[in-house]
Amino acid sequence: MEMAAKKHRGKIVRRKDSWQLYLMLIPAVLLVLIFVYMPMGGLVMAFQDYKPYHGILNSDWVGLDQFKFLFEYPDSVQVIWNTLRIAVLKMFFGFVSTLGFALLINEVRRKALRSTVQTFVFLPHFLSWVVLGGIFVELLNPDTGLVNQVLQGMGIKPIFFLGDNNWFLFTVVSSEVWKEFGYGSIIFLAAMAGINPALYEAAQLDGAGKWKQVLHITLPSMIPTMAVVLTLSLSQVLNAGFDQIFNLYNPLVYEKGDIIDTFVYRVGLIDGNYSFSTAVGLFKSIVSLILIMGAYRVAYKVADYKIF
Amino acid sequence: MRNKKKIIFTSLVLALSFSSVIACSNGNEPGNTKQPEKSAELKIVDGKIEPAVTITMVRGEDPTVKFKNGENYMDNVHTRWAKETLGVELKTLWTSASGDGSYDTKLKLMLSSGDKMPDLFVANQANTINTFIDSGKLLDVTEAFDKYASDTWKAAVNDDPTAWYPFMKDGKKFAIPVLRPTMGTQSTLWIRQDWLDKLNMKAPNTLEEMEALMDAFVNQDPDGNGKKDTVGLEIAMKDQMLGAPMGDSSWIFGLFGAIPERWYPSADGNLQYGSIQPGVKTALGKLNEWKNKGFIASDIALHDFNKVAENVTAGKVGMLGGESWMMVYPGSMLLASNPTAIYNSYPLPKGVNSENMRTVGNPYSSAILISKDISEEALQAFFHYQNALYDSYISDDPFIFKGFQDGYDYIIQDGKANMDEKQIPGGKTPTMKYTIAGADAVYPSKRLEANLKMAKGEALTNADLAALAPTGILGIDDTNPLEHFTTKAILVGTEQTDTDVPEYFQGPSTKTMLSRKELLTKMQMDTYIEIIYGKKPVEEFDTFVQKWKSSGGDDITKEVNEWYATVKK
Repeated sequence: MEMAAKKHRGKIVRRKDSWQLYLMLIPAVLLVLIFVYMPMGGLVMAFQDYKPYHGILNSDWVGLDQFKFLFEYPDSVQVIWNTLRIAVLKMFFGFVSTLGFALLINEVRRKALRSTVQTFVFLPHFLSWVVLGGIFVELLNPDTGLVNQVLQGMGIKPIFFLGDNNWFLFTVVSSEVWKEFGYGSIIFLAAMAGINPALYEAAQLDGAGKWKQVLHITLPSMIPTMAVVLTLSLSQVLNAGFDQIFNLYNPLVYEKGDIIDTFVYRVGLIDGNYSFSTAVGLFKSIVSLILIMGAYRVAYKVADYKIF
Repeated sequence: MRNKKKIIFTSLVLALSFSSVIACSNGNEPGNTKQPEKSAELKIVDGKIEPAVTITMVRGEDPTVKFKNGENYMDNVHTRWAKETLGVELKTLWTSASGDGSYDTKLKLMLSSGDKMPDLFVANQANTINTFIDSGKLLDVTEAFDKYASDTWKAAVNDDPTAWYPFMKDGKKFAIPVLRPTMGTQSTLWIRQDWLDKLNMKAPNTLEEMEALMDAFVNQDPDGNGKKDTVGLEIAMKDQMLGAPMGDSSWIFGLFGAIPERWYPSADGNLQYGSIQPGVKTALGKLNEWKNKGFIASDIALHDFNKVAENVTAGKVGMLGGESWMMVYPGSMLLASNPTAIYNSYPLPKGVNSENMRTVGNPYSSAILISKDISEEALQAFFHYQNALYDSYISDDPFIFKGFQDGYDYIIQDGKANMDEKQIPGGKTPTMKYTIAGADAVYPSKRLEANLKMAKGEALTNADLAALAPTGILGIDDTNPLEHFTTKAILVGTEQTDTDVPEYFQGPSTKTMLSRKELLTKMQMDTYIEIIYGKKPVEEFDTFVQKWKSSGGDDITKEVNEWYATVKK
């Protein structure tokens, strides 16, 4: 079947009377060229000392100075390391929790209960971190915050969640997971809905329980989806979540909480430094590109699955 | 595979050529700069230029500005007044929201695309202003201001000539400061009057009394809810020490003889950086003590201006330093839920060596930038317009601007101005925001005089009222009682003006600042907060000072003083 489809597709491409189809493509191609590729020309700013009144053509070329500044800055290693740590933790726990939640909710048979739960876990995704930041600061207050009052009630000493480096890490990762796991589970649920029910029926006949069904049918069927989700999430490895960190961090947790984006923000505050932020953006894109390509290879080799 | 590569390559080439086409249009247009004709003389009849001269401008949309009767920036009661009374036609080419930074982005785009500049415009971001000054497209206003500005306007700027500093380069002036009153920007000590009365205590005169009061506010349950949930003193210190109008920290450090994050002269006359002065060390030790005693919030490191406002509104705060408008915001929000909760402003308690320091705001709020391509007529017309606005200070007609204010800022009833929001048809709309500067014409010392008379409840003369005329507020507005608190706070503030420390460094960021300032600020906040939280001993401050100096601080100090030498006369 697949072979046939391939042949068929090849035929269409070579047909001479298909020029109308190409004509219809032109607007889309133009849009992509103008709004996606053309702005990429601005990346040359990363190698310049860009000044608005000189423009891109007349600004001075500084070569790799902006990148040198980033890597020679005394704090940059720490900041990059922090970003990686937070992003990878978020990625890992985010993946595990969304998958786990999807598996569990998929087993709920009562539709009303199922959709109610889903609605509730979706909701936090739509809240902005500016709002949530204020709520968390209040909830996690070491004296009067609800969380610490509960802890105290259980005889545990109050914890300054946002003022201690390790607890900060914990708070940032768990609150992000809490906010996003409901939304992230959509794609897994969709994949599960697509699994052939006949497989489950056959397994039941063979005497497989729920656990065995999950292990031998649901999970293997979802490997392609998991590969896509993981690969795509790798592009976020240098994005630890500016909105969230910026609203929660403070000098007490600079050591583990300061990330590339907050650092760039503070540098940018001093003077509009376009070239430097472009350089950082380019650096992040290149790292993401390499990671995605690597992950894609692995997914292809291991899961024999082509995303693109 | 081969084809694929080719396609990618072609699209890349395409992308690059597109961007270079765009970039080409950025080029300057040489030979297109016309010299203003120096000989032009305007014909002025009864204060009106005949025929009317057009000034083109662009403007940022102030989020607080209001319009009515279908008016807008392009056409409103003020622009019509300017045309009919002064013969100056204000033509606004475009407007853009300034709150989210899009106005500044648009200004810079105008610069990089090589578009023709308007005759003039107002900018308030230092970064934008410096970009324009560096571009060489601005008029050196030194001569024009000397020649065309009225004596009144000149005197107003001369109240504090440092207002020019940020806009000077190589001794030339490249923008005209929009003045603002600095009285009221200093912190006074705001104390919950109802708590003070309930606990039967008095406003503190010394540090010891202040500590006793904080203790009472924390441990004697002033809000009577049976919980220990109040703080004695509120401070905003997230990310940086200075900068929050409410919860200011400068006066606290000032009690110990230093102000962090500010450049001010040392004994030898050179500028020094407050963050590394020994007084800060003592202050940090004290703050640590207060933190341990619970006088300040346990999550104080997370408090910024918004959090301070939130805590004041929640009725948790006993004392804080803040600008004169404290009772308007956030005080009014507290009043809404608790009508007896009032903060009164008090003088700062005496510092440890009987010396006090606190910050005072810059004497300018923004600047008027003039294109070097402006025509001589338009230039003169601008000064004619601006001089006219400053004429209120030599007038004794409180209704000097009635032409555009009547029916907007107030209505005239029985020869007096009625400023009641409810009495003005269509609501109150402050017209001072329609002016070129987007603010009232301020003559700081004269304005202060009139304000102080109001605060003391003295009778205002017509000349005093005329000095207030640009604001559209003629005398005490009984319809807004919270304004009384503001004028009273200004009065309290003026009693300690000898403690005011302005920011002396007004130049553009220096070379070392660009590469090291972030690092130094982070280092500072790290050290300060860890000392306050007791994670490091107070001696750590000395290590910080050494590190600050060797990590670029010494270079910055040198550069700052080089700049200071160019403006100091």
